[in-house]
Amino acid sequence: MLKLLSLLNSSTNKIMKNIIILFLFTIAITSCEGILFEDDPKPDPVATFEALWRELDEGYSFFEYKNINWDSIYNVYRPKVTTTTKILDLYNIMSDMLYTLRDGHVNLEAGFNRTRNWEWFLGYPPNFDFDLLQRNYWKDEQWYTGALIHTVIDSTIGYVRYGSFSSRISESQIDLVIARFQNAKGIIVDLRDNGGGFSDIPLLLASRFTDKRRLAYTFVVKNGPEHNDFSDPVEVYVEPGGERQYTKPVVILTNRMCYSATNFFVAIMQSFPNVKIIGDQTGGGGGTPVSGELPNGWIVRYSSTQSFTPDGFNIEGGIPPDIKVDMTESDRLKGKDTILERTIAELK
Amino acid sequence: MRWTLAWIIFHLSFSYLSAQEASEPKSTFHLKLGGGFGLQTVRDNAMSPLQYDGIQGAFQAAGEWRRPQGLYRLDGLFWLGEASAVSGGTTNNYSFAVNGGYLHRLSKEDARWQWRVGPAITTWGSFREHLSLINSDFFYDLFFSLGPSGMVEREFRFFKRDWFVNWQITIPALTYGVRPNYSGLEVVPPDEEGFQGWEDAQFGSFNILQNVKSQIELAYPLKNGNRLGLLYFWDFFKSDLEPHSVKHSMQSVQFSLHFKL
Repeated sequence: MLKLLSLLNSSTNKIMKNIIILFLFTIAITSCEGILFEDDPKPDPVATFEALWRELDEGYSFFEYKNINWDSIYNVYRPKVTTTTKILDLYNIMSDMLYTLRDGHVNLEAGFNRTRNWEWFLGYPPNFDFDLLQRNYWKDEQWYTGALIHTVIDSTIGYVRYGSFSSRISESQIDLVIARFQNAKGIIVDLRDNGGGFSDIPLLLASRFTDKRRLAYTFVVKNGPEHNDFSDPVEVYVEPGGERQYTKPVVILTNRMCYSATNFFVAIMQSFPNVKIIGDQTGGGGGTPVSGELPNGWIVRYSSTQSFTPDGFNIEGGIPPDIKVDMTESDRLKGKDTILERTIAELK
Repeated sequence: MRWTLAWIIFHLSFSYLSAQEASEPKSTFHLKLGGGFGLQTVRDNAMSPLQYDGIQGAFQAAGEWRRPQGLYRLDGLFWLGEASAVSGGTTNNYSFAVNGGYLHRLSKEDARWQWRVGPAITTWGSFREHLSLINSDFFYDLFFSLGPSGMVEREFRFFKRDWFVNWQITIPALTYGVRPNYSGLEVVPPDEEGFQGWEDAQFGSFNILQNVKSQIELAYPLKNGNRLGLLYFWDFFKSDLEPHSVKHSMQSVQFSLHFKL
């Protein structure tokens, strides 16, 4: 150390001393960059509640469509939160507040639990029995092509079951199914209990059922803090895709658990002249969800767009079927699927 | 035998490192390749109200063409790694800075401190993928700027060896910048390909980007005009580009080899 100091003291190394000082000066200045960043917002209950309310106030897309007075809701729930509110109580208060949005795309992810509003299907008949289908309808003809289960019913009708848009299907898998049923009198696409998934698959699947380019749906995106701040409508088109298209009669089976991407697929298909929807109204979910982080690290998810059928119908509340049919208990006990039976009769 | 071989390798390496060129020619071109690590801090209001910090792997690929009157530099710096917030989530980060410019010599040729100034074109790109968010989980800053740059450099002897140090500072003044839109969703059909953010790009000056880029480099000349380099790079910016502000700092230390071509 002494040797180093004596070296630095020599005239030759005064230059080096200057350079070391320059280095240290630069590093010291840049190490103080902490002063350039403000502190994180306080993760206390009031700040977290305020951040959640504001995030929704400026980003949620359905206040006007659902006629929700978000300021009034603030006045109800804000007094319940104080700086001493415990985490679980805060979670429950915020959960109750989000519940008023009646939206399956709204969740608060707190690590230990996730809020949800499932009224869109829990308040209605299930209208679907997987076990019954497997035992009495699919039988030996069933194929499993990726996430698509398909079989032949009554020798002339193709049946395709797609359980979740979260299970990706490839173009070749869809083409195989379309090829198998090319000579069928009609195709049944059973989407009951399909809660949605990837947003690109509805267009991909629909492209096998249209003979020409059609307007699939339009959507607007939240682009400002006011409740009615939206982008200009964006038109989404579906074009014929794949090796061949199936343009003979197609029936889509729906129930209240058809949500989000499934709801979009039904909206697209309903405008095709060869397609009918049979079953119950879909659950809805017409807004693309986005998410944001709160000061305490919790994540909130909420709808940020609105979508419309080509004739301007907002699909957030679900799409009514062309033929409304509910499964009856007496049919179920006989091993019959009322909705499927009605569909077979329609296609015969 | 093993020790003899090790001694020969050590001796050859040391001889190579200790041997230096008597003097550099007036016009030289160096290709710089190196790597190291960096520390990144970001507060992106498009993503979160929380501050994200993380260690990044750092890489450098640069060129330097030295002429009697001026110096042309093109520095490419790349970082990748993760960042996280104290009480929040985690992001995957990918960033790059490509800065080029001409630095004209102001000092006399034999002056000990060589001062240089000139114009610089700077590019900054940073991409963050938040692992806990959906749909609006991808955040970015893209800035293309023009601004003045200054450099001071000098050669010196230390421990009977020649060394070389320079410090360069650049302040972008005119900027073309892109940040995520209001909702973080692209306002285009879902099957449309390509980056739509360009539609929201803006021209501006210090109103959209306040940025300082500083780098200090120590070089040790080797035989044949090659060099060993040690680079400390610091970049801080604050952008108020609508609709979401962002603050970002990056500092990195990188070792490099400067190949004379």
